[in-house]
Amino acid sequence: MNRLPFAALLPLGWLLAFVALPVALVLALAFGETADRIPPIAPLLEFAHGHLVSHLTVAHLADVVRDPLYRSAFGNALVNALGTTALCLLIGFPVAYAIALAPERQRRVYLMLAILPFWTSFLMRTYAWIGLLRDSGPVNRVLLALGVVDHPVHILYSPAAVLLVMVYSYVPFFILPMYAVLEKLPRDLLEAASDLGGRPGYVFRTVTLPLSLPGLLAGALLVFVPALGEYIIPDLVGNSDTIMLGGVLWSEFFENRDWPTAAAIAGIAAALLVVPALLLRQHLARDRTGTVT
Amino acid sequence: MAAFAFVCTLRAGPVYCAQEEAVLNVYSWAEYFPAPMLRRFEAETGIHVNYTVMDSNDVMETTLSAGHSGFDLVTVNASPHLAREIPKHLWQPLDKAHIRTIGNADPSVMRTLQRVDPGNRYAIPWMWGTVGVMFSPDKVRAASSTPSRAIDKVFRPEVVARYQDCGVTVLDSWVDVLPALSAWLGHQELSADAASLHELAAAFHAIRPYLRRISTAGYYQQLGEGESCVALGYSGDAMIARRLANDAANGVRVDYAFPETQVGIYVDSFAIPADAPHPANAHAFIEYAMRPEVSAEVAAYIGFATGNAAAIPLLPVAVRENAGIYPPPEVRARFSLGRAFTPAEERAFGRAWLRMKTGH
Repeated sequence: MNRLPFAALLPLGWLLAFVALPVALVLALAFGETADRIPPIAPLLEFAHGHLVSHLTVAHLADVVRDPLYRSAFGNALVNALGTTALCLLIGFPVAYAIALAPERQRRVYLMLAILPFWTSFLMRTYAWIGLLRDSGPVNRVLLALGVVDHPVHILYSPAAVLLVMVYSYVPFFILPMYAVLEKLPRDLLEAASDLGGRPGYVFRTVTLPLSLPGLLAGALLVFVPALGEYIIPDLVGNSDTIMLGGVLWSEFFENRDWPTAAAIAGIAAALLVVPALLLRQHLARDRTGTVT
Repeated sequence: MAAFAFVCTLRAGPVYCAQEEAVLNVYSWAEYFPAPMLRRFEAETGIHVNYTVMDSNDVMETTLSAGHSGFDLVTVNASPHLAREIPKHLWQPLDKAHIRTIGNADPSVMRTLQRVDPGNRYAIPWMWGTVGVMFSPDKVRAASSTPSRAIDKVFRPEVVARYQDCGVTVLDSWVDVLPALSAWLGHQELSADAASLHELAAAFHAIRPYLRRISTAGYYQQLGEGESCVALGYSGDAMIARRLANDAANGVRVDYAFPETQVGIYVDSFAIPADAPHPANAHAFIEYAMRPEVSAEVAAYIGFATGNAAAIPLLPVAVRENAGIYPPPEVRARFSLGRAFTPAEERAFGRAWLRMKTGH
């Protein structure tokens, strides 16, 4: 008999109530029909004149899949999220590696510095970037003073500003899991590899990288998943002429009050996220059974 | 006992002869009710005010639509929000007998409101303004010596192109942009038929490459800080941009001009949700706010046009005679408030705007 331990009931109940149920509701809404009532959707199933009547349609899902507008919203969000993840990896990996290799006391200071930005509200930090990147802000003043440019560059309200602020905001989410793995990396393995004649690059490729893969994948997912649906940063430092997933969702839900279309977009986005998450899980499971401990 | 107010002992209406908890839950824009005004109301009536800041009319509508929001008093935008919400029974009719200062409401604004609220049953104007063109005259002159109509600075492609380097911004709101664009194209009324939407999209497509930004947030800061030179925006925001420039002493001047075609008008009005838990307190607050001296103090402070005609003579001369806030009759004659659109029309406009602004 495979009985669930009693202690597992609480987390299971939590997941059912606050993850599975809301997701199921959103998915059900995607098959609904808009109606001019409160809430603005026809009941999915109702008893009318003694019959069970259903108001279900796949029209909204089909629209979202077919319409080039939504396709480019998904495309832009995907490009933006992949770019953010790649840059976080390029910046976060060396930083995490340097922290892991630092002497014990310095390590604590560096970790503190990586966590410190979380002590200020995320919105405040984003607004601070607006001040920094403005035409008359410090960044442009420095560029002008150095003679790099002779006109202020319009950095703010551009896709580049969105990418910059997203990488800034998300990089700690990459550094922390990466560090957690790198810190536990058995030093004697690295020493053995160099003793046996492995050059640093070779040791990194064959020993460090494979062993740190779980941290790298966890960090990449922690960045990629929220980055795909990021709404605030593109809204504050981007230009509304670049269509993004979060913006389209907002517009369909609040402005057009088209809940089924909004739910269809959210459902498809969630499906896009489930695929990489499942791949990662499979990969980690294989790692656990396949490698020598 | 102190927690309850006997509103019915002061007034004769049988509806309110019940004890109502001495609390009022207000849901409105950040600047609309300054703290000193609220404190005086609390001191005078013993009713405690909870003030929730609203960030958009769409979010407000979603909050109220879900039911049991707990709000007693909201300032709602007349069109399209109030227009479509009245038939959905989101609001309760006002009991005018319990708002003794109602006579102060500006008759011309009340008349405009009738387009969405026939008989003025549900709403009383608090603040209103217009959609127009704000610009920095020095920068505009420096960019081009050829004079142009105000509305052409944001809609006529060859004119917008002249100002693209000093920066042109347009509101990110179909409710305000599409009627103005439609009027500029020479139409009397905004229409959602395919041909009209196509024409609007083509007109916007022609100016889109020259726009610095399409935004409703912070565009007036950009103007006041000298980082843009022309903006299609709200008259109230023009006053804020001017104040920002003055405070920064950066030498930026901000002028505001009315479109030479129709002038879009927005009216933020008091309204009471149908399921408000403290409607009597809400009536008492409206009565208080519509006193001439109370309205005048707030209107002088935030620089929006007050919906209280009796308050205008009490305003400082500089505010009262600012034609950008209180326009002359020939401009008022061109005032235009959106009619009530059907849900299908609104979705068509919303989708069309999403495509227009993103270039699809």
